[in-house]
Amino acid sequence: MNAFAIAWDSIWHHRTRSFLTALGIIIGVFAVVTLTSLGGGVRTFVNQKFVGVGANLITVTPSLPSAHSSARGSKFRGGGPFSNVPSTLTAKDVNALNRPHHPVIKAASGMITVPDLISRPKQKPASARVSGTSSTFFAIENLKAQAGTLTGKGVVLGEKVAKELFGHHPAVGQKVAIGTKNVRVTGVLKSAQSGPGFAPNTTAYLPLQTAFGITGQKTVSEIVVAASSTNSVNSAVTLVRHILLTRHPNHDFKIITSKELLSTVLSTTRTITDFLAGIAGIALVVGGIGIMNIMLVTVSERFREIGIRKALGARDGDILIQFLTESVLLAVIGGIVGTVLAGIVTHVVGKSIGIPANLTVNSVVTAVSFSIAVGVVFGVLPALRAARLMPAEALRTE
Amino acid sequence: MAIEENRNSQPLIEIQDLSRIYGAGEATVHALQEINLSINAREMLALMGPSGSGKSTLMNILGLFDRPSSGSYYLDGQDMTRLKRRQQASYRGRHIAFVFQGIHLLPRLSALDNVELPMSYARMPASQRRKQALEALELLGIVHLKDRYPSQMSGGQAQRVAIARAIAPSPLLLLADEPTGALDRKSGSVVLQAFQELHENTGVTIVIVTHDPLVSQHAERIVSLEDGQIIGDYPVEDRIIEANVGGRQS
Repeated sequence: MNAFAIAWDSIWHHRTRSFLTALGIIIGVFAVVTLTSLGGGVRTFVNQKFVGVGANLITVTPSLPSAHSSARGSKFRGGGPFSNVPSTLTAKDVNALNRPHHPVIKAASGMITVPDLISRPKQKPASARVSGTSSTFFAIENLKAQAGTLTGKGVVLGEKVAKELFGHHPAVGQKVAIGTKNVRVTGVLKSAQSGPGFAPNTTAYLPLQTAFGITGQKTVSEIVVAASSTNSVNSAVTLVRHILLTRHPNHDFKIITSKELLSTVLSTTRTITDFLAGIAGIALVVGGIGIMNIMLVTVSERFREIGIRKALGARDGDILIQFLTESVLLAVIGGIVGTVLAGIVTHVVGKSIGIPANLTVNSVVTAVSFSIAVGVVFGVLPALRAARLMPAEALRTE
Repeated sequence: MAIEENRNSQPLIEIQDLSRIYGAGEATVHALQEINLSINAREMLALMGPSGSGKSTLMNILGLFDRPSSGSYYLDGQDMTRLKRRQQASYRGRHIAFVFQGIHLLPRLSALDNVELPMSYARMPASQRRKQALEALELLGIVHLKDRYPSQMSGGQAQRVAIARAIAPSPLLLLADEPTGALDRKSGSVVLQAFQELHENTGVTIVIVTHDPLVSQHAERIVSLEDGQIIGDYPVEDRIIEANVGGRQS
């Protein structure tokens, strides 16, 4: 009888106990694999969205003035869409970028956030954001009209905003209230995919000048520039920087490409996933301790058997292998069951929240090798104990 | 007789000034005190003594389960006190066999698997293992039990399987620790008969540890221990020979 058969025999003989022991590993592996797979799914999802929305986009945001390199410490100097740096970017900057310089820049659009609600006059407001944009924005973001025009003087409603305000009635030509001002609807967008910081279906877009009028601001909060293609993003960045530097010699702006934004978002999700998986890994360690505990019990229950085997010529190594095999087998069974469960749950959850989450080869390999490692690490102590047992004392324990 | 001839040859076991001390200081126990003993090949010897006399300690040392505190122990011309743990295990597996007081069969293995186990630990090829196991079962007249599990046998049958397991690898030395201790009289005499037959037919050296004078009367020689010292060493005069021994096979 080889070590594997003996181990399986012992595990099967104590089915309930073995199952409960393996349960710790099942839960641990399940948690780790599910979290990493879902995290992977989220990353794939974000990636696809970005590609759909346009990897050719460049965003210019206000930043604190910097005399020298924009690269040095740029990550921590503030700026970017999340900071409160007062903007010095204006519609003139947008116009400067839109002047035909070089084919690498397709178009540029200023963006301004209007902190007001939109409603039909004297009715409840819709749950929508209001932005001011240049008319080039729609071309940059590949947005199409389903009714009216995108180049009118009035507001362009996102598909869901139009539905919420007007139901199935045509919106074009109607008036909406934005803050205290009434604006005519001149266009409705076709439904489109949203991206990070960009939700066309639930946004109402005003022409830049109208937005300036409502907010009283003179500056845009960011400028979105479309490069002519994904490959020309880098040369477009250089050109944008050159044009803006002649107008803003103190370098009070910051340029982020979609690629950079994507990699920031991806690395953030990865960090979160790893962190969660790490916490889930604690469950795995607890499961391992459960295995150690049960193996110690098994060893003391089987003192007699160990003694007999040693008296019959079993070497320390034979006994060590026998008990290690048992703990590793327990852990691997737990690992496999946990992985299968994780596969099912990941698939179901991924389907229900609409992300392409599936078991990755990576996570399965990690889970199984982790459970083998747990079996070895937590099996060594009990197995060594068994192996070091003197046969004489083992046989005396009746 | 073959045994007489071997008396003069080199002894199988040679023990000189062997002591075993447990503990230290006030609690020191002298389990064995400077024992000298030599046992020839093909001998059947009984080690007698009350509990606490040191006979179990001596058996543990003979079986390489324990090491003497001082003195020497030669088995088949080899110094056993110099072997490392691992070497001890492998030497034990190949050359020393045990029959224990309790029925020490592994409950989850069939009789045949139990008999094969020591040979499998000695890394013997499977086919040879099987052959020797069947031979041993045959020698003890229990081939028909080979597929039974210990729970399906009587005490005497199980102990005979244990003896078959002990002799299957053709050991130099067979150590039996109170082999009839857990058995009723009838099964006990069946087991003792098995030992005598084995001794007669294979010439294996047998050491039986017992406190039962009746059991020791089955041996050829009795060594008595008390308080860690040998107090008697004499041949058995009215040896009990169980029926059929020597007559059934030749």
